[in-house]
Amino acid sequence: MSLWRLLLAELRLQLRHKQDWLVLLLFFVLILILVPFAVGPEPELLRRIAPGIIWLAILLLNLLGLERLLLADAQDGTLELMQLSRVPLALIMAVKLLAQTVLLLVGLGLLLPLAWLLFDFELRLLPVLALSFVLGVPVIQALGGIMAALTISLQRGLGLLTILLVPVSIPVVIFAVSATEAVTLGTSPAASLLLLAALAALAVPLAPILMAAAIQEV
Amino acid sequence: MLPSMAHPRYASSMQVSLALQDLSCQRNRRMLFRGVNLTLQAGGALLVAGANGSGKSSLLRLLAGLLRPVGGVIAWQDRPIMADLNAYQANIHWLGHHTALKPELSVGEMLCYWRALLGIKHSLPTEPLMARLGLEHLLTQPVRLLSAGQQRRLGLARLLLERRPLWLLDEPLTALDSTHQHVVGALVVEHRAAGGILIMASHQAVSWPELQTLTLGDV
Repeated sequence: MSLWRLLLAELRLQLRHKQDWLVLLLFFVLILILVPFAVGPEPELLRRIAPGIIWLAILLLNLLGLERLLLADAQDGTLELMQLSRVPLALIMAVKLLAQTVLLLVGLGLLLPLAWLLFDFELRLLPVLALSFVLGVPVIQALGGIMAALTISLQRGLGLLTILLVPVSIPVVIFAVSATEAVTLGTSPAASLLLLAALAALAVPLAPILMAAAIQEV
Repeated sequence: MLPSMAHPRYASSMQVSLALQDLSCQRNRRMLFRGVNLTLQAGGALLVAGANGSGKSSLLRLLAGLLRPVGGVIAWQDRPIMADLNAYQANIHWLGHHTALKPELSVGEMLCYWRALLGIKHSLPTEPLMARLGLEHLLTQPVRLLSAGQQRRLGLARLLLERRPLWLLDEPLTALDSTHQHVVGALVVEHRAAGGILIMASHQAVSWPELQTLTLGDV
């Protein structure tokens, strides 16, 4: 019950950062728009690389958004209250990750039709792509959350965050893109999606616990 | 006198107590203080004084369990706080150097956020406690538009959301005008009368009754 209130409060807080998320959405759209200029306007090529480009944009978006996940709380003293709360710190971290993941997924859901318009990929890719978002985004959020917790003591950890996060995000991109690849080739995407789900099952429950442990050592 | 302030005593049958035994603190390989011994009983108050950088805030963080001492023990009700840190921390109201305000929220939303974050189920009513701090007309105002003194008072309002027996306050009087310094003084008197303990770091000399003083830097 109190966790539900906390989730609503956290969502309200994150939605109030209008400039932040508008810039992130614009950033995502810009990447999608710029790619055809960079690689040339061949429809066949664009159709083929679309899922990869979208996932690349998600990774970058994630990187930019994660810096703020804990930094503001650390700087304004809210993190101290979180540590002192009778709600366990790991649960608070889980709620924060959930709020940010929900918002990111909603944003991606709204932008997916735009990506489809821009790249004209096959319609049957859409459900697999959406499913890869639902399974993959929580994983990169969870990984990013751990990195954010590890770097808050440095005050400005974005550089380090990037270096730490990119290598561990690679498996997510591989499985997500190979799922859509499978659909294009006419085979089943189940194996890749299941591996993605396995990553989620591992990362999502562990991340809040590791985040809490990292913060308590500060 | 407002109804919300008519405290029953904290932890009705139990007398709270806080004891520091041979406490030492080190930050960035520098020894801030060592061998601090101190006992506070229900109703007790301690002013932590000392120059900038002498470890006042670090002492408060140690007492909140946010930092680990390099030596010594902190005991709450004669039990080391590390035995069950989470249960101990539920007794604490913390007002740190930073006030934990979110500029994007309104004053009323800020209180809601704190209630949810701190896991406060039965909060005391908003109106009287805000009236106490002279903030009742600002509930819909965005936090970012408040003056420094109003922000500090909003931070202090958090202490009144729920009764907790141990108040750890870092420079609570900063930016407050004399009227509101007196209001804080009155709140502290009520907190102590109800059997609470207050520990406060401050540069400002206060003339509160029966206040122990610990001056860091010469211990």
